[in-house]
Amino acid sequence: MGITQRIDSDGASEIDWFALAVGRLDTPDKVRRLQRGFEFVQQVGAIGFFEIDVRTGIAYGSPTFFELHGLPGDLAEMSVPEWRRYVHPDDRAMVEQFQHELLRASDDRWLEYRIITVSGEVRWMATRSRVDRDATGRALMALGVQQDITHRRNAEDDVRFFATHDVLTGLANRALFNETIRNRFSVLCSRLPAALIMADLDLFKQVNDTLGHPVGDALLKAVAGRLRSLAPPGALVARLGGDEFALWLPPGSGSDAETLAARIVNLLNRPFLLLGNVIEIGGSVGVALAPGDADDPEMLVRAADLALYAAKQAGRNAWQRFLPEMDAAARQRQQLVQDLRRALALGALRIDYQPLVAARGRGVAGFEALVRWERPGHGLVAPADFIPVAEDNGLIVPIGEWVLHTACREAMTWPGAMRIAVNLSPRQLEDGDRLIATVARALAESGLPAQRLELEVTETALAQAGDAGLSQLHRLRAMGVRISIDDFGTGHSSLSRLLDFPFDCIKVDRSFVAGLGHDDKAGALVRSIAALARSLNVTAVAEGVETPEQALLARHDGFTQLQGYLISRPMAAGAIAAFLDGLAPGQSVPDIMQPAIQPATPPPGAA
Amino acid sequence: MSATWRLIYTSRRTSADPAGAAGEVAAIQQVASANNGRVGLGGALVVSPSRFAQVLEGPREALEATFERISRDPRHDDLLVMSFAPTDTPAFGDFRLAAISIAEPNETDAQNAAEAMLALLRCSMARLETVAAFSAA
Repeated sequence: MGITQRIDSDGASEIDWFALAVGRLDTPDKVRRLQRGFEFVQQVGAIGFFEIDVRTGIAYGSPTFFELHGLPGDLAEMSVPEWRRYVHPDDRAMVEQFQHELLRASDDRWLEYRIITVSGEVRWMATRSRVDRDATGRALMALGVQQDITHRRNAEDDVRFFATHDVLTGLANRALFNETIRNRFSVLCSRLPAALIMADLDLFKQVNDTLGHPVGDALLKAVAGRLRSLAPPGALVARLGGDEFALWLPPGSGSDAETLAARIVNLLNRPFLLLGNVIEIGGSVGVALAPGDADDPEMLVRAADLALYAAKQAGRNAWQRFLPEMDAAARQRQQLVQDLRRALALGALRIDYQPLVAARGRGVAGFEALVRWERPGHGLVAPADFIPVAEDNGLIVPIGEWVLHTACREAMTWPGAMRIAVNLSPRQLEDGDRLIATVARALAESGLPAQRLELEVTETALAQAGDAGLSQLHRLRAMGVRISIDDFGTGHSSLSRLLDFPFDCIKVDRSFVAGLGHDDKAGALVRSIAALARSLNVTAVAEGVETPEQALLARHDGFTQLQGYLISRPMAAGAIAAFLDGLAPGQSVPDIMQPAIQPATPPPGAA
Repeated sequence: MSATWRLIYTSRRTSADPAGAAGEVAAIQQVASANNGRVGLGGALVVSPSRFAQVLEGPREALEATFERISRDPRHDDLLVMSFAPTDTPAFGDFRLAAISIAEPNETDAQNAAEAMLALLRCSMARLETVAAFSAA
């Protein structure tokens, strides 16, 4: 190929850029320098020039063009069909279609595709091409550039991967999970149901709190590995956040969902060895089928979530299939939460106070603050019906703070220095700094001496509180506040561990007190707890004392304080003064009860 | 050199076929020996018709990764980790996986059966530790 010159329509001559680019221009110095510049640009940018003679189907290319394919740079030409053999098989149809359209196009066209180099490597290419035509518009030459864009595509793939996957576990993230369900939902039919399985770990927070985040992260990775090992082909395993995982089972595998759910519960229940720790945790699992349980993707997720919630309520470490009544129950719960939030904001909650009296001779020791809620249209709601819901969604924290402030303030209006006992929720123990600040503020604002405030924590909450919760209790005690263990005997906690906790008072659960006098086992247990309290020099309270017989037995067994309907039901704040006035100075409440006991048969052992 | 850790666990065989125990031991021993050799673990496995008890020793990371694989194995259930701690007296360094197949322990209670098998393991361990101490001295 010698010096080529093209003549423009206006007659001006110009350099044949293509010949220049491919290094075939036999030229003086100035142009040779340009040519070297072109070569440099091509090498650095991994850009190859090519020109295809449309009539012969022969492609002429620059050295870089051929080198992009792993071919020798001096190859110079190649037929188009031969070139297509280097295109990735999956992209060949697309490339052919592109070339076909290019011949009809009047403007530049652009395409990205993969080639397989001589050494078998897959590389991403981008081309920009146009067609030169004669005066009649007939295509003569197609010319263009082809650039290696593998780095960019890989970076984009990385970006796409990290945008759609959880970095810690490598599982799909919530975005990809939602997209997958949305895309596949429309093609579902009842003959081949798909399924959604939601799983979360029981007590994951405790692992993080007690063993630290590195162990928590290792646990999440191991859980991801176990879920992945159980997932059937075509399933999508996702981490939706925290310790919340999901498995999408494709159409046709819905009927296996329950078996799989049971397997997941079983595997999560097996021990994990992580960073030198033995971790025994468990998982709860919810299952929903599509299209059976849901008309749209959002409903499917909600159904699986509700089934998971039901599994947790049923005692964890279990799986549940979605049932329609779960939906109704959830709506009622939601309404209750809304009403409760409004009641808190409008000051519609109130506190009733139930007295604790000395078992022998020293009168009223204090009052326990009990939150009461008159729900419009429902009457007085039992604490058991709204406290657990408030625990679930965290509303218990502001409610607990309101109770603490109000009770401290009202206790200051009492005649005398009786104690005020306030219940603490496990949720309040989780945020220790906030709890300490709240208690300090309630004491400061009301002027109540710290020694008059007693905070009640249930035995179950104590057992689950972990070291962090324990240190909060130490801080509270250091402020002078008393700590009592509530519902003692129901928490199944080990006694030795329990004794690690700092406490001033044990309140024995009403279920044991109810057994006094006719259930020998309950009696033995109650007596041993009272003995334990005596030897630890802490107060022992019998809760739920309802009969004179129970009162006498509890007193006889060594309880120092009594609480229950026999002494008094919880009363409004305004009734406290009258209640105290009704007692003669120095008179103990059980003594007042004595006349009521006299006509009855004396209980065994009372004489 | 990193410390040697020792893991002891027991589990319940899920296979209902008591006669298959010996075959299962052979299969486990073959695969596990190769794997253990690769990651520097040693140990012993006791199999009764209804239960497994195993001791494994080696670097902590390798033990944890191996146990993660063991924990997913459907051939057993009710895994109970009896101990997982560093040891000054590794006893199984020379055994990739010694395997012992025994008759059902005379204990009807699963926990007691596991204890009996562990006693056997501990007995072998104690002897190997004595041998190791003797040769060191």
